[in-house]
Amino acid sequence: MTTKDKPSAEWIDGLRRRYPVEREVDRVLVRKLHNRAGPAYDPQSLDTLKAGANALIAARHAGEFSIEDARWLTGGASKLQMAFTLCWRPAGGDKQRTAMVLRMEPAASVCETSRLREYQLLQIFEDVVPAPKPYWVDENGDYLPYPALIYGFVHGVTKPSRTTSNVSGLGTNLGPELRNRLAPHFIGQLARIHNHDIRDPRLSGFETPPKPETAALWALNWWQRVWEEDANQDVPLMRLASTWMRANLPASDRLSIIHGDYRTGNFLFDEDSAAITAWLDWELGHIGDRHEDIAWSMSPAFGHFDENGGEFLSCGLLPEAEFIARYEAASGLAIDRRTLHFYRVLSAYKAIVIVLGAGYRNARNGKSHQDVLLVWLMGLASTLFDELATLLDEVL
Amino acid sequence: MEIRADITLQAVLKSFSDVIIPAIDPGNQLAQEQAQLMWRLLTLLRDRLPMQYEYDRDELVRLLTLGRDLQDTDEAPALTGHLADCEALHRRAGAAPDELVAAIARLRAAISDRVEQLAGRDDDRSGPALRAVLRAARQQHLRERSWLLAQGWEVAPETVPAIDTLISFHNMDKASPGAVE
Repeated sequence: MTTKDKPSAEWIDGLRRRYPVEREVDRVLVRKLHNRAGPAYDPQSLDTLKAGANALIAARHAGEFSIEDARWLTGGASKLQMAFTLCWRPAGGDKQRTAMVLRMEPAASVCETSRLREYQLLQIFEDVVPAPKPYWVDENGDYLPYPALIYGFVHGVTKPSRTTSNVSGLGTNLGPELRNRLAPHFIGQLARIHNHDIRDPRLSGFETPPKPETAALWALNWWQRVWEEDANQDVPLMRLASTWMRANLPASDRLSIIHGDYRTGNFLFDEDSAAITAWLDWELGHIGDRHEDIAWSMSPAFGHFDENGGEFLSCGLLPEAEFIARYEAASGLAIDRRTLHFYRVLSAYKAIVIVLGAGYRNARNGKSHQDVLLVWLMGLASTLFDELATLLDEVL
Repeated sequence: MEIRADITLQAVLKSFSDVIIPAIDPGNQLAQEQAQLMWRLLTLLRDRLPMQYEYDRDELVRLLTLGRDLQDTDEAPALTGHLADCEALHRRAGAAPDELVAAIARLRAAISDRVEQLAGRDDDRSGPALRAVLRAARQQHLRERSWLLAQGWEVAPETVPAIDTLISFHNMDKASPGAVE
């Protein structure tokens, strides 16, 4: 068993000193390492999850209720999801049947994140952009086998019914008509997220970067630390990228709430009205620099060329230049090309860390409910490396 | 010994497609998706397994070439030591596959340390060396993209050369000291 598979306290402390991050991010990363040498993911039955959800709701909700029609959901690469119907009477409301989703971590996740932070972001943004309504959080796994969150079920699809894509919505082709109708919602909602007040008192699980360069530094520290914790083998290009980023941290002119995984495949939409019905996967959200979300959305992994093979469409929606121009117009926030370049390097780096670093380590240790998907996703790194080399070539 | 990977994978794949996948509950999305991924990963493994050793030897040769480009006995003694070990291993007939993989890991780590050292300073030597790293990365990652072409990640798959044109034993000649890509 390697150091990474059975990490010592000294090794963990060394990484924490080298790569300081927000307290809540640090907490979940340390928890991941403490659990690493422990058991592999223990397959959970629907009955177990139903019982756990029952216990969580009973602890948080005074009144009778019952859980019906529990079933598995698929779609994400990192969490287990169970859909169910809750028959209950909300405080001050009438008896009703509410469709809900239980979102629970496996033994270790390809994105090791805080359910508390995800819950807080959903609380804030359900009134700002389409997002599921959060109900209850089990942040430490007191009621369920692992930490979990319950939120409202939202109808919609992540891709048109008559199209194909790779896993997790990657490479989705929405088609010319749909992309034109969805693009304004995609841009406008990102602008609303980035313009939301970061001093919102409900963000108790978040910290604000104290200096202009700290947003970039924390983001780099987070992902370099995960790479060091999880990667199987060194990759010279990754070391080159992290060294370059550390020497070229941009100063943020303004801080925003960052979604962290804003892309096609992470929103639900109604095929008839072309309205986005929910933004999902807020787990990577944090307070940072808006360029981070823009850069992530522009990753080649999430887009494709148009039907004529001429222009590359970011997230399968808009050519890059138009994406930036329309975002600037919608948000009133300028995009700085040098800062954007830094975050494009970081985005490629982060995506590689997730699919090749965390994906490898979790699958190797049997920590998730879908190790086979994690192994499949490791293949995405080959194209991400190409993107990373191209971006570094422009600045070296 | 007749129970080899090729016939085993062939039989497993057939069982999967003929019996297991059709029997999975259509309402269980998680099981449906994982069964499809298993079938596709096993197919990829069946297709690539015969070339895996050649692929690793090719990567070691490429790392030796890059390592020599970055070598400096005074500044990077660890890299120099790993280069010597790995060149010896590469020359040795019959090096076991796991030895080869371990050698690649050691050389990757030593080269990464050297890259960090070079990228952290600003002088005449670092620029060309770092560009050599980028060139080597592009070559290596083109091989990986070709290796995994069947997964469907490429936005323009027709531009990626076939894997058998990217790894070949003629590259092994370049493993001798002094050879430059």
